[in-house]
Amino acid sequence: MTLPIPAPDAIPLPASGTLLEILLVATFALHLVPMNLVLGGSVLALWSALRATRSPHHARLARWWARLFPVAVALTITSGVAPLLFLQVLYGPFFFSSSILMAWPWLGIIPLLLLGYYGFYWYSLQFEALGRRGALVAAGSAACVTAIGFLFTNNLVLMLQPEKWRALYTTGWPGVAWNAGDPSVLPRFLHFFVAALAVAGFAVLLLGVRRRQAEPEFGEWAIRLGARWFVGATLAQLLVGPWFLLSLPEPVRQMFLGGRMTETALLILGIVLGILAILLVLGHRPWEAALALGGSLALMAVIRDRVRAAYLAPHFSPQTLEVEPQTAAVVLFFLLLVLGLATVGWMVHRLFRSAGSRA
Amino acid sequence: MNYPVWEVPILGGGLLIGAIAILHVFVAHFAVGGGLYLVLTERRAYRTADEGLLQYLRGHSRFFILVVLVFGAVSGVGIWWTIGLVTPPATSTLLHVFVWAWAIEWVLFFVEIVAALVYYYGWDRLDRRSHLAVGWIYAAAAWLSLFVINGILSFMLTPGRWLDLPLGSRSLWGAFANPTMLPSLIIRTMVAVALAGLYALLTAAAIEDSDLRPRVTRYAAAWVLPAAVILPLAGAWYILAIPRLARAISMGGSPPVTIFAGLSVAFSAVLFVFTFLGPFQRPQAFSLPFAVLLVLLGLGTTAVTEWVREAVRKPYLIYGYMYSNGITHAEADRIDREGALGGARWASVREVQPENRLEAGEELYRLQCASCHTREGFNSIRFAVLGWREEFIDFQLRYLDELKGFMPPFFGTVKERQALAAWLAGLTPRGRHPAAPELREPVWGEP
Repeated sequence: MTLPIPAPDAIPLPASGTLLEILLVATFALHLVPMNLVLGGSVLALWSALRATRSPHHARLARWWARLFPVAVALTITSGVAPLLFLQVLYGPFFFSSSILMAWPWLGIIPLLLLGYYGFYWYSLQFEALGRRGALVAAGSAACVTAIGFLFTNNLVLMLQPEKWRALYTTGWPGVAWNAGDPSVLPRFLHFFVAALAVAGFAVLLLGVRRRQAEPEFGEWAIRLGARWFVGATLAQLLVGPWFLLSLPEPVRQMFLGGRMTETALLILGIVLGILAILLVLGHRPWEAALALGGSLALMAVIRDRVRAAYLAPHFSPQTLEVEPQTAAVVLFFLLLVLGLATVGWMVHRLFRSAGSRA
Repeated sequence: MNYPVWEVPILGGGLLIGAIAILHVFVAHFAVGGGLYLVLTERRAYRTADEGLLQYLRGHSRFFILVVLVFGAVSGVGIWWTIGLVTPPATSTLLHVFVWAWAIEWVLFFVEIVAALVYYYGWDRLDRRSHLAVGWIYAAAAWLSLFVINGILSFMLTPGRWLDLPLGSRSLWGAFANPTMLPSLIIRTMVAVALAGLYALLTAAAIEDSDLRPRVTRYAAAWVLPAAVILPLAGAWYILAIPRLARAISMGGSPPVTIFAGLSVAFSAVLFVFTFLGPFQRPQAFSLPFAVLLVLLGLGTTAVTEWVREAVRKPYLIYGYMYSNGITHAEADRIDREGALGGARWASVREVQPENRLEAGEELYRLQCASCHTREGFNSIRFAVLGWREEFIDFQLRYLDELKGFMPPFFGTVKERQALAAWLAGLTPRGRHPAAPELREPVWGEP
């Protein structure tokens, strides 16, 4: 029997597959930053909340996370909508199919997100009133976002494995056939989770750098703590990363291990940037390290896209789809994007420039 | 035919989408009108040097953030989740026509979210002018995102000129500027303004200062009332612009849809009268339970209205292009000729054989009926055919779209139709088939 991959839509793509792919990867890379702050940050916040009674620094740091979460979650959702949009238009036949196979757990993301998000607001708005119980709220929200991350990993791997679909569709409970048993799901999830811890640690480090002038003691402490999390998590990545690589199907793995020049070079560069970021942190050059880390994150988004392409190569490539470009709309989108970013920049600039001026 | 089918037991996929969509719509319109309410009320507070009003507005803006940014955003994501699971072909079609409209809407959404956060966190950090400017940016971005989404939603009922062109050259603008886009935009804008007032009544009723409470209450009620004049006019325009069948369904053709359409008018009327006589005329006597009652009435109005809007689109998801079960006009002939199962990539049976007839029938149910019917729950298929003999079911399937105008025809070969009829007949418990007329009684429970 042939694989049950749905046929592409009868209506041509409204822009070239390459443009949509670039937007998919670029917006996903943007999504990584706030997403990592929420996912990794919720773990670090919990860590601090549990130590808050013994250490005023940890109490101070937990409050900082509490204030950050509502904004970080809002930006995570907002920045996540765009890659989802481009993913659906490019890879709809794969994404819709795998989503339907695991419909119930996939739909579970919505109540989990609602619960976790309100939890973060609760933690944020009632921080003082909650006191020690705050750790419980933080733990609840952390569990919600971690579960969401795991469900995403499940679906985004399952959409790449059409050879598994029919068996999942015809056996067992309909709509709960998720993919947790796949050998690459757990390492892939851990790969993202550990990266999130590293980025959240790095955020604490940067907080320390910014506060060092005003609060030297706290600043130095935060720098040390953040650096420890960042370096520790990135070193752990040196174990998780190879595990993830080895768990990939043979042809995909081979591509990154010398099979294809570009992909192999991308992977090496990503790892080198990660190690460089560690060395720069240890050498007390935080802003240079931020650049290296940003570059490494962007590369990971690109590599992830190449992994997807390699998985799907036997079945599909978005570049083969029929295209009928809506050029005027594309131009309008980019114009509005520039205008929108400028507006956002102006608002944020105002907020931080006039901080405290009216209070 | 292209995708696997997710059967939602008891509720059915349509009702699941509906439940999430109604809650989202009720909050999303508040997100649009509420922004205007915040910025205009803030301006009024500055002009009248009303410190009390300003204090109230700070509390209201927190309420706004908690409702709109969290529930509004997450339920909006929820709609994406459910439409992808329940109606992937229609979702895919809309994405291929409107991906750039959505991309544009995403930019507006992004500006909107940041503006809401800066507005909320900026009460003490921004000077008055900048704070107002951020409020205006929010209101503008929110309304513009309504403008974009409204074009996509109205397209589904009235694709208009878009249908007349060959697939490749169908433009985004032709689809967007469709016949009900404008009346629908006016309706939604007025609903947004009214909901801003309705939600504000909730926070107004909770004000402790007994001097401020009636002032804000009357002011908030005044936001609800303009819709009472404009909605009937825009509504009439909208009804004139929708397809004839859709009009017929909602005005007598289908009793439940007609009743719900009537309820929509009745609920709105009661809401306006109560708001006028209560918080507007006697703001001193207004209370929190009354406010909750009005908000619930508003939710009820939204629910029946959105339900009618969805129901009149039957038998289509995208009018004149794609039927409720995801089959397009373009593929209908081929399916009748070559069969539905042959082209259904996920079906376990690809051709009707004597030994797999019932399995084939069930597969056809999943492909062509399950988008609207459930087996045992809402709009139950078992109840719909209870006690019908196989030949009678086959007859009904043969003339389905003529017998029931809001249902698509059956698509497939004669053999497939008969297989579906056989499976449907099997849903009536054995021995309860009316071999003789008198046996019909216990089945229907008639006297």
